[in-house]
Amino acid sequence: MTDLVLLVEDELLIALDLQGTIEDAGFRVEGPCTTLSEAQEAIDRHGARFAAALLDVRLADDTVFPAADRLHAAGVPLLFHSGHADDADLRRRYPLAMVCPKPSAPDTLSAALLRCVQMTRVG
Amino acid sequence: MTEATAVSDAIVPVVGIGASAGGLEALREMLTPAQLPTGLAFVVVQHLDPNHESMLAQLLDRNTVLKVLQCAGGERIAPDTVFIIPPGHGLAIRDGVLELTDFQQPRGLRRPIDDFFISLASDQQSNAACVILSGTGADGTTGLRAIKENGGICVVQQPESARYDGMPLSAVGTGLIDFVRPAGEILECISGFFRRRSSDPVEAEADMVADHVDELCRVLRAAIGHDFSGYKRSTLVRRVERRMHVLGIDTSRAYLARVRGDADECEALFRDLLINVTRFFRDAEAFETLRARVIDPLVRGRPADEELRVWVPGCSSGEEAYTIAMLFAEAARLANVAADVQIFATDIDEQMLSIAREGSYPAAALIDLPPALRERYTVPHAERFSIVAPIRDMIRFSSHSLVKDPPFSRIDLVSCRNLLIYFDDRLQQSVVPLLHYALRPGGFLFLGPSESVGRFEHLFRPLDQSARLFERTPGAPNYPIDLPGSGRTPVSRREREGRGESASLAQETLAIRRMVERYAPPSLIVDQDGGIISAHGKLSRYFEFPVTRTGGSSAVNLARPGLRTVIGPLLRQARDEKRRVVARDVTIETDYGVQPTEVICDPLGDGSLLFVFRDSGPFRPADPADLSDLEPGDDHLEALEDELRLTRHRLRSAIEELETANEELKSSNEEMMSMNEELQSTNEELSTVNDELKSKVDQLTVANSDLRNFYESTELAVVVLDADLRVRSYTDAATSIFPLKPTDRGRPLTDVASRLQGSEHLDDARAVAGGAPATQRRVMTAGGDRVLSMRVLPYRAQSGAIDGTSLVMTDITDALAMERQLTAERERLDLAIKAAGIGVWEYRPETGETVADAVQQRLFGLDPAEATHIDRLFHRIDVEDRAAVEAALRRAVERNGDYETIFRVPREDGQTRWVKGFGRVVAGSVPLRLIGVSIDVTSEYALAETRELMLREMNHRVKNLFAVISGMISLAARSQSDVATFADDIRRRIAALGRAHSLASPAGEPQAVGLDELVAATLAPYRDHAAVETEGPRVALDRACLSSLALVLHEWATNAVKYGALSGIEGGALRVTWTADQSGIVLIWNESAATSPGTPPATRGFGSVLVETSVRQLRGEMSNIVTDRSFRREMRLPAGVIARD
Repeated sequence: MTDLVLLVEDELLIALDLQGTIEDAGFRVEGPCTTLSEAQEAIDRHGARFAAALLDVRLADDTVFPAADRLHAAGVPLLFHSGHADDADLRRRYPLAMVCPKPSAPDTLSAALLRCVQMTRVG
Repeated sequence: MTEATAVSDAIVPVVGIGASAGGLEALREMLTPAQLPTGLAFVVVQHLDPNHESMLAQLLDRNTVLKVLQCAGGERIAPDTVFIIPPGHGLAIRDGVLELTDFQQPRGLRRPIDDFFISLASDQQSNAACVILSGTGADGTTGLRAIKENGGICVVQQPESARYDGMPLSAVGTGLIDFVRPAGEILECISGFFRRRSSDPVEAEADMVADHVDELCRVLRAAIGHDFSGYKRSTLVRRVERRMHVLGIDTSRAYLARVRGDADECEALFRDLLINVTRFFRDAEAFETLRARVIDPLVRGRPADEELRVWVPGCSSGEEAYTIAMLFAEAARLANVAADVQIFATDIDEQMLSIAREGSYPAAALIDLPPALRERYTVPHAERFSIVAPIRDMIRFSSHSLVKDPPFSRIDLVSCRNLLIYFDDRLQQSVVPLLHYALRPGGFLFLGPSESVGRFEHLFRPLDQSARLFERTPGAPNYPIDLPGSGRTPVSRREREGRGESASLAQETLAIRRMVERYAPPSLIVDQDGGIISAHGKLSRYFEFPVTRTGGSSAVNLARPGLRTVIGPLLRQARDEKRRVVARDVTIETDYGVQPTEVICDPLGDGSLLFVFRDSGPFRPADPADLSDLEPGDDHLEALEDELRLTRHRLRSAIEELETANEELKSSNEEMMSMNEELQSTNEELSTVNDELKSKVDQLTVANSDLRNFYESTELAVVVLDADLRVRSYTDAATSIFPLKPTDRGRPLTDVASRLQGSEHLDDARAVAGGAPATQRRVMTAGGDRVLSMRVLPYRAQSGAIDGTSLVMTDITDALAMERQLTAERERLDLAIKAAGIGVWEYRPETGETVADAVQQRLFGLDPAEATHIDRLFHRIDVEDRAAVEAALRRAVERNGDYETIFRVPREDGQTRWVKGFGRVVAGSVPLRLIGVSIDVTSEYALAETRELMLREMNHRVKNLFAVISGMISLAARSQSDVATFADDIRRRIAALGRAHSLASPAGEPQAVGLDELVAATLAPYRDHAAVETEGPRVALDRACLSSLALVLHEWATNAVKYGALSGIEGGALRVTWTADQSGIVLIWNESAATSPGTPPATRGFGSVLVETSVRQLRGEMSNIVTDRSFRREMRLPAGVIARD
């Protein structure tokens, strides 16, 4: 069981903040990845073994979905953190994923992250 | 009776006028010249349809000064008045009063003209005139015979001048017409005739004529060879008078002279004298009796090889002879025997005989024949029919006078109808024995209905009194002594030779006669009243035979003085006692002496008595002295006896005359009644023509009324002109343009004022009347306030020829104004539609047909040929929208409602066009129609899309900004403990971010932000701190980089304010320069100062983290070079930060 969380966020300032929040929650962070290709590389590197993934939807080069699909297939719990993508679309694609609107309070995020991870473990 | 009536009504002669087809015109022509007083009464008889009111009276009334009345029955004839027959009735006249009669015959067989003429002839006698005008058929032809027979006058319209010449030609064909004149001259002709007659003192003239009748008969006898002295005196006088009036000759002496010198007049008089009426089966019942009692028994009882001989004296035009021939033929056919019948038909009128020989009669006469005979023995042609040859071969027509020529003999049947009535008593008495002679014993005599055998009951035994059928009594034929009227010895070689059958008997008879004439004493056979039946021997010694026969044939009257006193008593005694009586010593006084005589009177048993005279002494010459010895002893008795005889004689002749007259009248009446039939078939044709005309008149009346209503009510101004541009008619509406009054009809239009400008309408009318095609032009009223459309059309007569023009004017002022208004409106609408780029379409749901204008076609990218069906339009609509559009259309059609939808149409260039369509079902349209428009809404649609995109972008950006700020706060909070400083830093950073953001277009346009602007905005708060210089090309930045770059520049500036060139250090200056190329941007931040700047804190503060993170975010690189007096930062940014336009 790993405590590695994949962070994908193209806005570095936010990414740093999130990284802090994740680490404060007791996890290690892989990333932050700012582009899809970076995210793919990170997934390859770790064989998609993450405790969870915190994903921004829109990246500078593309959307995060190709990576998210791989993670979902690998059974990684997904936590989306997005300012624009509408909930409905995400919930249709990834019924089990959690969504936190951007911006979210650090507490909210960490709580969501923990719940994600636990859900997986219980499940 | 005739004389009395004629005298009392002589003042008003009655003119019967018969007319039919074309009659109205002829009547007008005839009556228009009438001038009052004419002294004549007129009765017009026409063939009228019984179901229609006749307008003849009204029509005629306009054309003549005479009073015109339609008869209602009961009118008394009055001068200067025209009486007109009413429809549905015949007309008759009795005692000068007109009577309506009901027709006996069905329509088509009626002949009202003949009926009336016959009635007129019998009522008015010679006071009647008849006129036959235009018409088809032959009605009137029979009637005029009656008029002529009674001494009236006949005038016929000149056939060439009559519109229909059938009736006039038929009348002229009889040869009985007195005058043939054009219609306009008829009236003068008739007036002249009656004027001449009324100016004559009738009675005196009649006497004078009577005086000359004998002389006339002599002249005629010399010229023609026929003696009319035995004809009835009254008839002769009447007809001679008539001829005189016709010729306008006043005195009988002058007429006598004329007849003497003029062979034609002789002929005319001869013809007039012979006028009589005949027809087939005249008195059908009598003929039926003849057939049953005579013809059938004769045909059946006669051996096949023996000839049947029939004699028809006075056969006229042959109808009677043919009738009898047909009866014989029919009887033979039915009895199935071949009868050899020889019919001798004789007359003295060669003209009539030629008609008879021809055997061709007007078709009207067919009606007289029983249908069976008609079919078998006649051959119909168009207007006439002829008798078949076998019948004609039975008859031999020859010229023969009953009066003067020797009779035929051994005849089985003599049919002598309506001939004796023309003979006076004496001639009748001599003709009857003649007929007795001609007939073989047991032969039959067939007479006319008003004729009789007179005193000769012993010669003929009545077989059927009502049919006037007699049988010859047995006994040897007694050849009359002298043929009355014959001027020579009555010996006919032909007769003798025809009688070869009993030569010995003839010789014996001859011998007896010779003995009686030469060797026997003079003798005399008288009847019971003393009338001489026959005389034998030289009787002149005992009787005085006057030159004329007018003295009568009484033996008493003729006896010489002396004998006269004896013969009466002798006769009575012998008759009463039925014994022979002798008177002896009768002294007969002659002019030269006296003769003593013995007179024996011997009753013969059959009612006649034989006187035999025997001289009983020698003749004593007269002694003049004896003259004084005349013994007047017997004077009184003698005178009484004389008077008695005379009175008896007169009484007898008066009675006979009356009987004859009565019979004659009856026969005329019967004839007239039966004549109707002939008229009917002619009437049929006329009725048909009339019916047609009537119905045409009806139609015309309706059409006329329609037209009048139309003319009075229409708003259309119509003026009809004739070929000379004279006003024929006009509508009320036309009076507003041409101030026409009813009196202007017939005036040239050129003379009529008009309210039009110019006179082109006249030129047009003239041209069109001359054959030019119809024209149309606009004309203005004189005031110019109204505009009229004037059509000039040719007026076509029934024949198709142009007979004038019609001017039709329509006020189009309002229409023109409306048209202009509509045009303007339409132009405006067109312009609006064109300007708005609106496509207009129409759709018929039933057929799927569509009509699209050019814009609509362009919107759908179709060419005109394709845009005719809805399927083609649907096909052009984007597949995704197609169903929706179809549904919307269907809904609109189903609910009769509106249609509105937006859909896409792929353009040929690959783009999409958005089209909005509106439509509406046209209310009440059949078939249903939808009309609508299409608008191109592509640009609007694009704008909305962009706006939505932009909003989403803005939303994202704002949220992102919030995230950045919140991240910034979180990060700063990890390294700062002083809340005041923390808040101040944060506020400044947020302000910097705000300034940078404000550079981006507030409207969110994707507009690039220049690097220079960003630098200037970031440094703006510090410009007064030190010398700040910026330099570099204008580079547009990608907006995504804006926040990061702004934060970097802000941190650098904050650092400079705190520790560097902007901190108020002496000689502090900041120079920011940048270059840009393919690889990206290189920005150099150079701080310099006169003295060495303060040392920056060794610990990495949050500002450093922020800068590093931001540069990383920009994927740039950064380096710091610190020298003694300057601090230089360099930042390389990749090409990605440069905005791609």
